[in-house]
Amino acid sequence: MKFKLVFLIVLLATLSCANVMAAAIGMPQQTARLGFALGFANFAVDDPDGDSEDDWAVRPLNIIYTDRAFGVYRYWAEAFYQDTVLSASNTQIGQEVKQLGIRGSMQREMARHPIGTSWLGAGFQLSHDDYRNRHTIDNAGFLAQTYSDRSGLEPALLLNYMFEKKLAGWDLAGKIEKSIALGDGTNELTFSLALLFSY
Amino acid sequence: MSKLIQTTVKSILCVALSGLVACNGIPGSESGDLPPSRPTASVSGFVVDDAINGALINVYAFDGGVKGDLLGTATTGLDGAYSLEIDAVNKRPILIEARGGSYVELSTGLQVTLKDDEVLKAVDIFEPGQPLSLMVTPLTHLVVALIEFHLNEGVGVEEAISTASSDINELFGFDVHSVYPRSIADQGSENGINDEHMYGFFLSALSSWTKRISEQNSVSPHETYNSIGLSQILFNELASDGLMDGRASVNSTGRLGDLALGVVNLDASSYRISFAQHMLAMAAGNENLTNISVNELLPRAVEFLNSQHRIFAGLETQLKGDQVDVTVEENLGNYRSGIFDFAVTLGSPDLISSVSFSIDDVELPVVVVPGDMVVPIDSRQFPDGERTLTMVAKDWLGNTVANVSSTFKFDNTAPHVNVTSGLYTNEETYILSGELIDNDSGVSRFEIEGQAVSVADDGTWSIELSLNPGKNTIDIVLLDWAGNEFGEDLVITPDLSAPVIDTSLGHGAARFLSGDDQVVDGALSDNNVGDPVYIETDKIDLDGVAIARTSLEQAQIPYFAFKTHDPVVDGVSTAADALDVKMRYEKNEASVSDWKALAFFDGKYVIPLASEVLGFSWHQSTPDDQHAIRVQVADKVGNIAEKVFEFNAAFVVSVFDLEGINELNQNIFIDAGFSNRADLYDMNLSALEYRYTNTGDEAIYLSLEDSGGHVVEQSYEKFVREHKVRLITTPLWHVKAIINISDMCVGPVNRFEVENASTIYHYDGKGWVAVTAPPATVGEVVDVFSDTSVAPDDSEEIDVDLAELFDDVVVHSEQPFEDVGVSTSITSYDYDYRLNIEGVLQPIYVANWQRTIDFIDPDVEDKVISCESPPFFKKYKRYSYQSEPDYPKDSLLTLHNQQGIDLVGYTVTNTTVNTDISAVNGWYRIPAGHSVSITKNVYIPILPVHDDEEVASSGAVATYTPQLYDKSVNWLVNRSISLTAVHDAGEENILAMPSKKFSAGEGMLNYSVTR
Repeated sequence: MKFKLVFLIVLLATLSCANVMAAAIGMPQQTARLGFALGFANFAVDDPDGDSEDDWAVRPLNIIYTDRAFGVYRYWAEAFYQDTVLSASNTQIGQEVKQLGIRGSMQREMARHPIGTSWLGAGFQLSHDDYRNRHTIDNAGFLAQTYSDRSGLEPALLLNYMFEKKLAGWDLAGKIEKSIALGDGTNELTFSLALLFSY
Repeated sequence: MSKLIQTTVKSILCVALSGLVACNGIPGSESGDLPPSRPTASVSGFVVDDAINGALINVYAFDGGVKGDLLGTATTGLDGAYSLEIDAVNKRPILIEARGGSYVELSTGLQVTLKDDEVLKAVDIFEPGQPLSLMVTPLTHLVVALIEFHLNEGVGVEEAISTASSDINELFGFDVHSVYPRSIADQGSENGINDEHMYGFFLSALSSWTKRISEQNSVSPHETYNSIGLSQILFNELASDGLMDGRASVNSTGRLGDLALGVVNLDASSYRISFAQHMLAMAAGNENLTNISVNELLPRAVEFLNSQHRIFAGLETQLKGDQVDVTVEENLGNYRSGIFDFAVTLGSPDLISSVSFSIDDVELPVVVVPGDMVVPIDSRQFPDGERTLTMVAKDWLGNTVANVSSTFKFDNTAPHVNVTSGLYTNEETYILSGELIDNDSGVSRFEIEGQAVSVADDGTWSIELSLNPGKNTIDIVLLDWAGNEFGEDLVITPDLSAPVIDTSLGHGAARFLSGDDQVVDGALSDNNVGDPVYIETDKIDLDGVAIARTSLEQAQIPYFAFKTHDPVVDGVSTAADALDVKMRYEKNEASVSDWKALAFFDGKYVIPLASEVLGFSWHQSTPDDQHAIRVQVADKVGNIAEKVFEFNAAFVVSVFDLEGINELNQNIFIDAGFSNRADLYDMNLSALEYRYTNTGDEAIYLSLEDSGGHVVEQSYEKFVREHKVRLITTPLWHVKAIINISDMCVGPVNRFEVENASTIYHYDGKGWVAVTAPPATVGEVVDVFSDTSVAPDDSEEIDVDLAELFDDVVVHSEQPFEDVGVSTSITSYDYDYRLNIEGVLQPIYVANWQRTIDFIDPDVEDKVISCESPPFFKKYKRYSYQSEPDYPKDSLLTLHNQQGIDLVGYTVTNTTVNTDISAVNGWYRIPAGHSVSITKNVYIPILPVHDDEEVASSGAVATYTPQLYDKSVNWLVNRSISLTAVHDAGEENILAMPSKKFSAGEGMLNYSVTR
């Protein structure tokens, strides 16, 4: 609970310190945007006690903040929370995984097309992970072995590619992102669809 | 965006985030709860005949009443206990089999080891989560037998289990599955009888009963007949018709026949009587260490004795009064006076609770221990005259089991001579002996045949007599001092003739193995040496078949039969049923068994060729072994007749059929797929499994032979550019013609060169004739590897042999030579071979060129000029290619590659005890009652892998380097197997035994992967 409160404060502070860029004619151009995204992640746990199953998980809500940094670069920040259940087998450890974390990337504008703009970026993720009810089952589906719950802060590296289209008053962005755990965390390949708003 | 919109978006995001953080989950996420734990699946209990130690416990699924998968296995401990976890999560019937191990027969203390084909079974319903306690005993074995009967009648498995369990539990009065069979040898501390004690007493009764059966058959206790063996007989009895009525299927033929254990017949009464009698006998014996007395047990025994349970077929118990053999001393003479001993022997003293003696219904005040009993009788306590001495023995149930009477004449008033020696002898010199009794006054004269006889102090006397043939009347004169006279004509008859063994009634039917391995029907004769008797191994034991001609013929068991009698000579003989008839089994002129008394039955003697008679190792023989049954018949005076029945025996495996053929690893080919076909190469494959159960009574040896024909076929496409050409060889001439012939020797010779001339003119004396070079030749079709292949270079030039090719006629030419200062001069030469016949002369050959110059000035010396110029006329060959029609072109061919699949060998696993069987010189030993799995192992060879994708690409361009593309791989393994089986007569005799051949499996096992 304490971690969740810190997370909320950090996010709100981020929202309040948006950059503004000079506008073409007199008015400052608003480049900071807020948004949220719906994602589908291919999800696997790098479990210290054995293999785990790859599974598809829904990321129902990701809170986004992004702003131009300098030149063709911008930064991209997200806060996220997800609760996923991985199935068990007689060789793979099933578990319930809860993640609350933030991730940030520095992205470079790659190309600008008539239909939108593509971005390529890299970054870092830090999340508080809870792994509960870790277990395996036997061939008949009965509980075979249990493992103790574990939790902790788990860092990960990020690589992402985005394509963004500007619409009337809001932007629509698609993102493909690969996260690589640096510890016994999660490895994910995520496909997200985001809505961004200037404010 | 306006301030209002910005504020709204911020608010939405903050609320959403707050709600998200506050929530402890995402809507729609799966449950992360742990799955339930596997229910308990433990099965435990005890295996008890008495406690069986070291038995292998196998638990099988029994779905549908069929023995299914092996669910678990364990071994019993010293107390017969077992415990195991089985692999089962659903409610289902299970079957437990206990094989091997050993136990102690309580009635004798002998240890018995279970044979390969002896088993105890139990069946119950397993429910997951509920530990199952299940005993395995001869009584649960009866439940399984009854279940088998119900299943054969078409009853469902659960109903069969319920009905059979209820029947047996009702019969014995307790739950045979759950109650612990407490041994009566366990020290008892509690008082009162309970179900555990009753279980123990019923099982102990089996031990006592089979001890008694051994005695009745004159064999060692519990060697041939024991309680585990009796359990197998009772299983067959109950499984055959659901009744314990003494009738059962004979040797699995399906026909019902009478059951017997040697000379002991089985029927509904004998079961009830024997159980009741022997549990009481055991209760009375030293083996009973419980606090339970015979009297406490008696009501339960009587209740069982009078049971009207339906499995006794509604038959009332018929009590039998002659169940115990009684031997009475007969040579006591006709008269008695004074004290004499009456000796009686009871055959089964354990069964006897009380013995009483009486004379003329007056009970004698004697106390005896059942067995060998000697009762003193004083004739003086009774009036003179004929008296009947009676012995009555009762069992623990109070039933009379033996009743024997003897009649004597008491004479207490006169001297008396009692002859104790027999009245019959097989010797001509005979010792007559006896005792003398007088009435106190003493003997004054005692003569036999006129000879005085001296009497010992104890009254005994003897005298040697020479007997004549026929009846000899011996005159005895006895007087006492009081004048009382005793006189008797004693008749003594010598018997010198031996009994007769008569085989005229014929022996049993038999089959013989002839020299050409044909089985011929026939009958046994006295001497059967030669063609061995053909005996299938399911017919080497009686297995309950009665030793009677009809029963043995039904069971197809050969036997020798004979009658015997003692000829009456001079009116003397021994009655047929009083002759001492015994037999001994010999093999290869060596005795195998001790002499054994033969039972007299229905006026004859029958000796079946079976283990119960000849011993359980008699079938460990080859066809060359000589078997002999030596029979001796002795009459009462010791004359002996002997006869030997001889035969050879060929023991042949009986039932032989495979249970099924399984493909073991087809999933490897299904799972691998075409793209991973290389993973299937270079490996040993367990291709086929053949299942077989030795349902016979004895172990066999199996030899396996593969029929071969296993191949792998690879189909692939070849995409290649092809160009087929023929080599054109054109002979050509290379010539150099002289073009300054008129003054060729004056200056340099100038020549005109033609490198590829095909026509030359030469002079034949009449004119110029054209000669052409040989025509071009066309070679065979060859492959070249370019659309524009270049033919070989021209061949090396060689000189043409002009003399061989042309004639030697030349043209001679002379021309005047004119020059300043020159008078009549002339130039002459010969020439031939010209390139043309018109235009400037261009000969190739010029000879004898000479110019003579005659100068006008006489001071100038005339001169002659000449020179030589050899011809340049060479030949060579020029090559070129001529493409075949339609070539060059692209070709797509489908090709096939086939390789053999080699057999690696077979693996034979005994699935009953879960061990691999090692072959001995290619033979695998399969114990009786065991199941085996035979695995055919082959080697899958390496094939080249062709994956040139261009072959399958549309618009691909072929090259002269072939591109290959696999289409399919097909593995074919012959399912056929040839098996040769021989009876186990010892490892060293395998090759000497007659074999039975068998083949199974048709067609080919076919696996394929296709692109």
